[in-house]
Amino acid sequence: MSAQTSPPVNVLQGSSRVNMTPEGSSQVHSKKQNLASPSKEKRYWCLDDFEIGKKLGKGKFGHVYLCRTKVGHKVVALKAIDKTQLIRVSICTMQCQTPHVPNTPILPS
Amino acid sequence: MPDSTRAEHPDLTILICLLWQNNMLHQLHREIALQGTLVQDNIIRLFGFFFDSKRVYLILEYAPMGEIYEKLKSAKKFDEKQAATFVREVAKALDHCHKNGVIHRDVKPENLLIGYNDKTKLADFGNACATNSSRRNTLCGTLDYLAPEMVKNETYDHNVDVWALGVMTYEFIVGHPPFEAANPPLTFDRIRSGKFE
Repeated sequence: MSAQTSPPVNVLQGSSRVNMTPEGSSQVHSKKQNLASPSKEKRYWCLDDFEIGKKLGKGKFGHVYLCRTKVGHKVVALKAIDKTQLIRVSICTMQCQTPHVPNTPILPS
Repeated sequence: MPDSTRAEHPDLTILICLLWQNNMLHQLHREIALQGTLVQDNIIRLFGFFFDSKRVYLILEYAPMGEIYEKLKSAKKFDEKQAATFVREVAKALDHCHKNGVIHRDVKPENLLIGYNDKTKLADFGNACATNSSRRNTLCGTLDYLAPEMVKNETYDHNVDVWALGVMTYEFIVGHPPFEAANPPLTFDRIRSGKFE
């Protein structure tokens, strides 16, 4: 993991809509270019599209990392949610939300 | 489930596990679906998501200035002007949520981030739900910010977010939440009676 300590500011500003799929190899990003690429096969994001930076915080289900896209260098926060943790917490919240059970978050070990 | 039952019915165990898994995936799906539709200046944008065998990843807008909670902790309390700015922006975000039929259900300083140009950003829609179905009665959120109707296990609507915003306003100006108590039952009592110091 490479640390990105000084991310470029305002990369996400000005673009009111960032498309949900990663762009191709073009380095210049404008809305027009994104729209004018219908021939490209629809691609989904994957972890390889990002350079992972420092950890921003810890959530209930996992960690949040500062990232930027390899293409276009857009800075985003990536929330990684652990699937096993998800199931563990779901059991816990079920316990918490069941009536007549003390409302204390006890995590099953 | 007793161990004997579990041994006799391994299928049942798997089924229950799958149900739990589905419930949680459903909740995550809801988070993605709800936050993905909300595009507003004071709400953290969700740009997309993907997953691998171990994790699900959400691509979210980056708020460089951190949580309001951290700021509140270091400053102890805010002056009225600053508090008013925060509250106004959160109110705008919540208004947008409610107009789009989403209840956030977990409004608290930890879930408020500060973005570029000191814009307040509402984050973490993990507890959010859609209002279009009937009124809800699931208990969720953080104790100090729970509305009386949630504490009493009654059905509630988008007004629980407004209550939480009110509690937060108090916290911004005074420095601690109004119904803070030594233990959860005491907090519940205080919220129910509406008494605070």
